[in-house]
Amino acid sequence: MDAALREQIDRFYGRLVEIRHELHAHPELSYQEHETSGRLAGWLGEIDGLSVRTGLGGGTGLLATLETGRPGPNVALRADIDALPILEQNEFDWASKNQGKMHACGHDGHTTCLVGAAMVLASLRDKLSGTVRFIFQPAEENGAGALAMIKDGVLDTDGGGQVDAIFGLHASNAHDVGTMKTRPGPINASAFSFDVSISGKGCHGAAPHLGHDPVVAAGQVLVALQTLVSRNVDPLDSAVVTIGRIDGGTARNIIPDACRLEGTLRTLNDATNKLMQRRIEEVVGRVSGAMGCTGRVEWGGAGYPSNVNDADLVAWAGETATRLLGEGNVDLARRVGMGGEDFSFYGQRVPSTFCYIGVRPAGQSAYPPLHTPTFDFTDEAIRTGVALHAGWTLRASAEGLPPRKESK
Amino acid sequence: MTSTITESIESVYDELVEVRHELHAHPELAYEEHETSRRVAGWLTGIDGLTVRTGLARGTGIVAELDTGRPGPVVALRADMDALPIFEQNEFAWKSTNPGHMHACGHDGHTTCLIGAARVLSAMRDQVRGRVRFLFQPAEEGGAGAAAMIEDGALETDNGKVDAIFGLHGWPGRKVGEIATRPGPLMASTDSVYATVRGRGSHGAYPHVGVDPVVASAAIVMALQTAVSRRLDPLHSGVVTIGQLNAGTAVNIVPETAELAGTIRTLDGDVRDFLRGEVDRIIRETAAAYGCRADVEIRSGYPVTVNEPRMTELVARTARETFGDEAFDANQPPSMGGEDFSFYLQQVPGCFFFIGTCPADRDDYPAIHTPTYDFTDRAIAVGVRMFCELVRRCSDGALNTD
Repeated sequence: MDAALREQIDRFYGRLVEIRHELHAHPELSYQEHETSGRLAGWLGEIDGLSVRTGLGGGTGLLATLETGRPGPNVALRADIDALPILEQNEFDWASKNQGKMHACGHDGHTTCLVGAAMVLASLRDKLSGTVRFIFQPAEENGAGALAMIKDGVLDTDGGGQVDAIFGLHASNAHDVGTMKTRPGPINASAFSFDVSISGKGCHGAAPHLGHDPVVAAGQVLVALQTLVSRNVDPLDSAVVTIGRIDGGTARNIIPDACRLEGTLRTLNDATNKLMQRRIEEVVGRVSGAMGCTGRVEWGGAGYPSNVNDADLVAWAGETATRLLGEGNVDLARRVGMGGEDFSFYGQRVPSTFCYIGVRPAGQSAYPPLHTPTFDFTDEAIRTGVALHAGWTLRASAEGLPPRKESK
Repeated sequence: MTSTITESIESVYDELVEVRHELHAHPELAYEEHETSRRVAGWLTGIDGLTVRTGLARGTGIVAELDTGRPGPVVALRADMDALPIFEQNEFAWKSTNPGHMHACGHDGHTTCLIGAARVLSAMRDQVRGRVRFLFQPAEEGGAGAAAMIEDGALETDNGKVDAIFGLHGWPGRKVGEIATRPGPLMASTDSVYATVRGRGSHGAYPHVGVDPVVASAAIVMALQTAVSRRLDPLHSGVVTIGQLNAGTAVNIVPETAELAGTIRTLDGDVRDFLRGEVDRIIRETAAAYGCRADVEIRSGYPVTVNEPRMTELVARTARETFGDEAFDANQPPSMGGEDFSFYLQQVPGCFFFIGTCPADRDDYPAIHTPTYDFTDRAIAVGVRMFCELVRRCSDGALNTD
């Protein structure tokens, strides 16, 4: 790593740990990140040369911009700021003070890394050209905060274009602090939620022939939905259809009027996503019909498309990461995750790289997974995140981004 | 030497086309390739410096060997000779004269490529080292002819096994002149499952006095869908298809038994074991849930065809140097079809690759295993050249590990 960059990271590290702990102690759910947003506005406002816009993305999003005044690349860096509805079981000083809410997905860490990058890059702005944008978005967990930020113009540039590249990162409990993993192409699955309503005709449970049982229809729908992955998806492709919740009836001896299923659909490309959506609707409608009921599918508000990394930018970002983190600490063949990530909305519009940074302390063979009540973003990983964000930006200024393909 | 190979191929090309047409006109099914075997033996016997062993692998397999007399690697090249039970719909002069049998998978072409390689390599045998072994195997289509050849020692040498093996398959999805393969899994494992679901027969109007194996079978088919949709890692590939479901004799009789048969395909040995176990359990338990008993038999078919990385690299280099960078694709998507070349690859390092058979002037071409497929003649020259260039590189030290 470049000595100047290392020196700046060392300089701010202690302060960043405090910031991370303060964020961790005050988790807020999607689109309710008001205090978090206020804190960020304060910290960012103290950084020399940064202009800060607040109130974006439905109210809690922020965009900080570092203008160098010199022509150069327009680079965007992104963090997500929301927490999860989980009761924290950690006992340390910075454990959640908001009962039932918790930074169990490491967004406190992501946010801290980006604040750190802003501090470091502002100090090194003599080495920069172009413009650097720091995007702090709400509601990654639920509500497509990225889309709300995009609607508020965070990717748009003055000249009527868009930023040249965007980078984002996420904590991973599966590898050591100081390591980074990513892959070209899809890195996270699309995530679409759907509700199935099956209407029948209720009656006494002892006289089923007098009604049309929507619970039995739901059972048939659930079984028939299994054929989507097993029969319709190319075996070389990937998809998941899960019904995670069934809700029908109020008493054991009453056949209800209706039954509801809640499901999630995961795919790695748009074509398969469309195919699965169509098949889900067909199966729900037809199988319900076969049972004498009617079935309807409603798609949840904002499904996340699959998160697709730009191949050239990943190669470039990986090379940069190797310079920063050292040989052997960068893996560009990470497994695709079937979990969703709304960073995908940025990647649909501009060349993007999303990567995972390890938060498993060195020497430890296991670390609590994301979304569990004992997870915590390991402080030491702040260094990795700041180094990557700042390192990518510095290299883009010094050497330029990889040439852009027409097809994006 | 390259010009020698091309000139040599051109000089025998017309004869090879005749060979291919003669093979195509006389297709024989797995392990019944008697005439084919006689023809191939006849052609090989006329080639200088070749020793020919016939009667292998239950009778129709042939191993020919070219010994250059100089120390060097032993390289095996393989072709399959059997045809399929399909009524040919082509009308050309060399169409099948055995009604109901057809070279619809292009094995006539593979065999011809290997005969061509034997002729060309024999002619240039003072320029290569070591030995070249030509394997003409029966029964690729379901009979595991490769395993029978291995049992008869086709891979064995005086001091171990052959150093490398290469095989090819005509691929109508690619243009003549194109070559493609991939390191690692290229083709799927192919196990079969057979199940007899035993209930108790009854009058169709009194199902309650019997135990209906037909309803149980329907539930089994649906439950089997969860093997792939719920149990398999979504990033892994697997297929469970029930292709046969037969039961009963009359509309108003609940039969005693129902028969299911299906195929299980995977691209990984562990996934293969896992899915076999899942299928077995799901069938037994679901049958039991419906009051039936299922006898399940899972018959091992072909293992996953896994290309060895260094041998794949050699095929890649050979294809690029011979036909140009554009002609070769190292990212051939795996096929869920099976191939018994996998048995050789379990024993010795090697690579299986595809050569295009779609004529340059056509946008598409009939698929293999359909009644209008024909191995395009011009692809013979590509196959022969690949075989010869691979042997030349092996002879020049390509197999040496540093």
